[in-house]
Parts: sequence; C-alpha cells; structure tokens
Amino acid sequence: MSLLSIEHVTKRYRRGRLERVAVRDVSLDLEPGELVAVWGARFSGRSTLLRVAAGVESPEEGTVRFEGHDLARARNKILGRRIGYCQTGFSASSRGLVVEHVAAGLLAQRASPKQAWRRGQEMLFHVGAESCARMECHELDGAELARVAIASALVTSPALLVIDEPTSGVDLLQRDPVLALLRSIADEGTAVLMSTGDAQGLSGADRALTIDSGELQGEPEPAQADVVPLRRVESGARRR
Amino acid sequence: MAVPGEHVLEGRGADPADSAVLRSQVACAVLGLVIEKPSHGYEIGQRFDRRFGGFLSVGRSSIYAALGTLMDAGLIEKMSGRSTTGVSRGAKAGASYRATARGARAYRGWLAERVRNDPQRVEMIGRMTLAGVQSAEAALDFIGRYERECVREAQELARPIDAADLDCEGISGLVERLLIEERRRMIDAQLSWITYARAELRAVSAGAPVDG
Repeated sequence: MSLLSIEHVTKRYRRGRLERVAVRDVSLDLEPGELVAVWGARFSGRSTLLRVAAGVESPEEGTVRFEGHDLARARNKILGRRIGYCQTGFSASSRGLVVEHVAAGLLAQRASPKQAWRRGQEMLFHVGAESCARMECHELDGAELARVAIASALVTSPALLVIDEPTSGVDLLQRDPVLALLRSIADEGTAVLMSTGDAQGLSGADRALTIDSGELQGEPEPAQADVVPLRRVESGARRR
Repeated sequence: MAVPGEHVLEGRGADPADSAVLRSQVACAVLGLVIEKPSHGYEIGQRFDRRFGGFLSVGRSSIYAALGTLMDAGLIEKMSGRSTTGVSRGAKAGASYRATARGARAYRGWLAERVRNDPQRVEMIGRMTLAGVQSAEAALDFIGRYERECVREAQELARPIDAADLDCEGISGLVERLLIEERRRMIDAQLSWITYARAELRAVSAGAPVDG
C-alpha cells in the first residue's frame, strides 16, 4: 500500500457551457521519503493536480487514497493533519506574528496556545526561519515566506507535504536553498510532492514528471531503489 | 595528438596553431590543470586521474606527450627552481610547468567555444528528425521522448545547494554552479519549446488547418 495513491483521476472545471479538463486520467503513487517534482507550464494542470492530491479538491473521476483511505471521504481527518498543503506567497498581507500563523494549524486541532506556540517556534527553527518568528507576514521576503509556508504545513508532523511552486516569488539566489530544504525534509522521511515551472525545481528530485494539458508523463510509480527507508534524524536548524 | 578512444574536438575562432593543439581533449585537460596549478608531470598526472579519470582513460605517457605538445606550441613553459607544489621533487619528478599568457588565452577561448551550443548538432538532430518522423503522431512521440530526456537531465544535473554550502564555496565552485545554471536555463527553453511544439502538433492531429 502506497502512502498516496492517485488512481485514474480526472478533474474538470465548467464555466457555463464551456468545460476544461484540468487533469486527465492521472495515476501516481508516492512512498514515504520520496521527493516527486511535477514540471508543467502555466495552465498545464500542475496546481490542480496538487490540490486534488492533497484533498483540497475532489476529482470528478477516479480515486485518491492516502494511507489506504479514500481522501474524498476522510479529507477532514487527513488534510492539515497527515497531509500538509501549502502555496508559497500564501498570506503576505495577513496580520499577526509569523509564529502565530505557523501555530494556527495546531490551535485548530485544539492544542493549547502554549504548546502550539512552542511547536511553531520549533518548526521555524527547523526550516531556518527562526528569526522571522516575531515578524509580521507582510514583512517577509519571498524566501522567508516559502520557509514559513513550509513550517506551517509541517507543524502537525504530516506524512506528506504537498507544495505548489515552492520557489515562486523567491529571489534567484535563494531558490536552491529552499529546494535543498525540501530535499532534506524528504530525506527525513516526509514524502514531498511539489510542482515547478522551471528546470531548477527538478534538481535532486527522486522522480521528475511532466504535465501538459492535464496529462501526466513519466514514471507513475517509484522504482524500488528510489524508496528511501524511514529514518529518524535529530531536528535542527537549517541556515538560510 | 589524439590518443586511441578520445574524441577530437573542433576549435573555432582561435589561433589556428593553438586550435590544432587543442583538438585533443587530453591536451586541453592538461593545459587546464597546468593553469590551475603549475607543477611537474607526475603531479599533473595524478590530478588528471582524479579530475578526468571517469571521462578519459589515458596512460602517463599520454600526459607527458601532451605536455611536450603544449610546450612546443608555446602554451606552457618549463619553470626554473623548486616546485611550487611544496611536494619534494624526487629525481623522477622532472621539470615543473606553468602556462604562458598565450596558453591561458587559448584555453579561455577554447572553453568559451565549448560551452556554447553547437549549431551543427541542432541541425543534425533536425535532419535526423525529418528523415525518421513522418507523421504528427510520430512527431508527438518524438517530442515526448525529447521531453523525458530534458527532464531527466534537469533532475540529474545537480542537487540543490544549501545556504551553508553556498557560503563556503570558492570561485571554482561558483563557476561550476553558474555553468549548471546555464544548462538549467537551456533546459527551460527546450521544455518551453516542447510545450509549444506539442500544442502545434496536437492541433494538426485534431485536423485543424495549418498555414503552408
């Protein structure tokens, strides 16, 4: 049983009598510790695929299973807990301290404010954004936003991180370090599914797929040798 | 002075005499190593093995022959006095070599030509495609395979570098990373072209009229 199993999924958008197929008969499996990057041009269906994979949207056809559960039925129990989903540049205008934003996922799960705050600070330290903890979201630059978005998605210790265009809006020289962070998160055992619009985002991925007109190309299943055994590592800060 | 199994490189735009010498990959590699650090033949051979052993498998005699050719061409010269490597030179170590200004210029010229995309290669691929791809469906298949090759190359090009590693890299690390970045951007352009070409070919497959 794969961690995530997308089986013949199709997703359509309708506007009046017009219909656009954003994702067409896509199948994809992910295992723990895998970093899978999906390259696609704009309007290729890459973001829709990630939203469907994370359970943010449900497909019209096909099934998405996470740890064996039908994501369409168990979404409320899985999304934001076992699956962390984020778009970078997420809430640059939102008010409140960064650490409060990161802790919000745990507060929603009825964790105590003190516990959520402490965990939020730990996650910011983990992604190398501890200096942003007491800043406001609108004060962050692109790379900091990306790291804070990742920290927010990881605060509930999900088994899968789904991240849409992690280097979008990130300064050119800061893109590699953000990608290296995602690589290290996968190396620690959390599966990572990311989209990208440039070749840089494919570097270091265990599998690199492409999507065009909603059709996914590439290896839908990991090669046996690609599956990284889970291993526990010490949590520590990453330099920015 | 090509050795068995090595590819002969084409040199363009440089001094014809220098280009003739730099047609040999071994000579180019040896010249680069001498520019990197003046040294004697044995040490250059050791560095050659470490740096290029995975690509070029040649004996020490080829290294010494390349040094002789580069000397004759005036691209490197013998140094007088002690070795600059700090390594004690035994009786067999021989003379140390350093690059001449002309050698350094010739190497940079050769390098600039090599990192530029070769239009002849593109033309050859185009001709091969015209010969072997006779329908829109076959062309779409070709495009798909081309895309997979591009993606595979981007995936394997290099692992992303962490900020800590960026801080302590030297100029050689920076140059290496910049060359990787250039390749990435070329792949971006290729993938962009593939997206466009696929849209055109799908339109043809669907029976849409095309100009011409």
